[in-house]
Amino acid sequence: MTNYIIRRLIGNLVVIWIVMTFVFVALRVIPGDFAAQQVANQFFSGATARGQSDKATQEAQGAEAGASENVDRALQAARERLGLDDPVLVQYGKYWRDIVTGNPGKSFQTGEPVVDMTADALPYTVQLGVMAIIIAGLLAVPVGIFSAIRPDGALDGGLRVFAVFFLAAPPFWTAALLSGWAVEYDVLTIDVVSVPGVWERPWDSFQLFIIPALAGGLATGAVLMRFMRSGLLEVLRQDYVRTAHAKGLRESVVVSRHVLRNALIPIVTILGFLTAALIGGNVILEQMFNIPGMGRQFLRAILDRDVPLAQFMTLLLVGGVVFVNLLVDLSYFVIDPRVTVEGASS
Amino acid sequence: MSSFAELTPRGLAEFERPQDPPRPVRVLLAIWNFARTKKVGAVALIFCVIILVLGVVGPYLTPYDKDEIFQTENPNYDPDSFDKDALQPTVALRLSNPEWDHPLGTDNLQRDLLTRVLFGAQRSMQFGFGAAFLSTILGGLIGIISGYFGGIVDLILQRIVDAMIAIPGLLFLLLLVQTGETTVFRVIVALAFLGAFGVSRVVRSATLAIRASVFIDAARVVGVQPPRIIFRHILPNVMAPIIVIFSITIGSSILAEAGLSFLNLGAPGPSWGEMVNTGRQFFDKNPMMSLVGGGAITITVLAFNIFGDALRDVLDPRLRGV
Repeated sequence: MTNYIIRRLIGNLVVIWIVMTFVFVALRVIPGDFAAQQVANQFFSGATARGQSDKATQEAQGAEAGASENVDRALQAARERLGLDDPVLVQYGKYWRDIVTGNPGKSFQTGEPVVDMTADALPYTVQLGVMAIIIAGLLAVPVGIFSAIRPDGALDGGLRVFAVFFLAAPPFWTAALLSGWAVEYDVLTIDVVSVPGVWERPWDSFQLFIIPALAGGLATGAVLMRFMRSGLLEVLRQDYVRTAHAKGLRESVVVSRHVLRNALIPIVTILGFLTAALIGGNVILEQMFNIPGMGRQFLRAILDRDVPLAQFMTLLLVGGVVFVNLLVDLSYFVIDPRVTVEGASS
Repeated sequence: MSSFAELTPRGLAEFERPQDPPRPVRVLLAIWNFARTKKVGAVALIFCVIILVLGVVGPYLTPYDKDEIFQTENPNYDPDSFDKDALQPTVALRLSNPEWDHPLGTDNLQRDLLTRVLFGAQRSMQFGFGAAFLSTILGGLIGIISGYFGGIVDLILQRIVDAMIAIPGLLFLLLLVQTGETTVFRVIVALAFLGAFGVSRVVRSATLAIRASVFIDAARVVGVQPPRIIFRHILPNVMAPIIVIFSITIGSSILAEAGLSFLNLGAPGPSWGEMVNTGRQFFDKNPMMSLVGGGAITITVLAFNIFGDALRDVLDPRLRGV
């Protein structure tokens, strides 16, 4: 057992190393860096300010040769300040030194430490994720059980259509329609400007989060429901279920005592996967509703080439995902005593 | 009583080797069998074919260009008036309701919405099939090599697959798409990489099952080289899961691309995802854009998913729940 855990931990460290290196390389391969963007903004806005009169524009054109030299110099200075002019291997070394010493640097964009920025973003992502998982669970668990107890009935058929539909419908579409109608018929006041915190203005916060949570929850609920149904059907076919029925146990007791626990393994597997999606944050939904969570910050960091922020978020996300996966695999041993280390590692 | 002729060697030989129907007939028979046993799957297949055909010929079905803008007669037109609004003979046909010339109305930039949807179908089919094709080849290769060679090769490849799957899909896509100018081809390649790792998992586990068979050992014992074992002995036997995962990857690629263009980060041109996003800003005026764009995505992904599920039940029931 200890051996198994150690082996898994080493595997996880390798996974984290691969992801971090991939993101490090990708952020340097994609053209354009933060320094270039900053300098471009600076010179572009200067040009528009000067371009008030035709004469000034002509001067600017005449001075193009000199200006490009200025741009080059400014670019060089900005790269030096941000540490982007070092050779890539030196940057890679510094990158790992910063991670190991627990000092992942400051954001290019805001100058704030990336740890603080991530800590600010995390609560929003957790709130959205927890609400979505609760909705998905409330939907999928009872519905999956009903569906499996009377398979191929009218209710089962209807519920399966529902599940298949939400597997195909993109969450951003569900969210767009729901929010459009909610605003049109004055059901909700969606405050996308000030982003109410859950402790300060709980009701406003709930109104903002409920639609993205519903959209995400319906999509994940559909996945969960299918797993629930097929897992339960598998277990209901087993001999010990027939034995339990034969002993004269009530249906509710059979399902809750004998069936549910045995159907837990596929459900825990998919829950682990869903939690990983939760940690990743629903990038599109956060972007749509202007929620400053992890997904949205990460997206911005990549688009702005904010290297330190993107790298730190990668570490946190991937660390979280592999940790959850390890927990899921370990939970099998608790849920089902029949699971052995040999079986789990093959 | 059997006659003597039936017991002759020639009679036996004919009995053992019934004539196979020619290949086209066999394909039709297989499709007929599928349609008979899987009614819902057959309906989904019809939808898939219709969408695919629309994707190929759709842009030629519409009389309009994708960027053509439309005007309509000004109801208040009066050249003698001093009112500014009454002076123009035509006004912009913007976010109009469905009418005969524009069955789905027009969008926020006065373009025919049905035309945009058809051009979007072309794009979605390019992304869906292109990405599914490439990711099946790439993922299949990774999966077979990983499953066949096992040991250290398997260990290394699987850690890479684990790592790539751990990155949130959209961000992984974005990192690849941003490596240069966002073209259709680049997005297809990025989608292919995104799908390949999932494909490789499925193919690997199928390969592991086949690899344990005696005929693989037999082939190895008589000295067949690994490439030949892989292509002649393993590949035909893992074809069923590969076909199934191909049909499912089409749907997931379309969905992933729609997310990218929803954020306006996809390749330029009319797209369903972008339609939902633009439409949402004009939802109070006319919800048609959002409804139609998202509806097209949903119907397409639904058709390919249901068809894929039915195909899986027929070809490889063990894959249930993957």
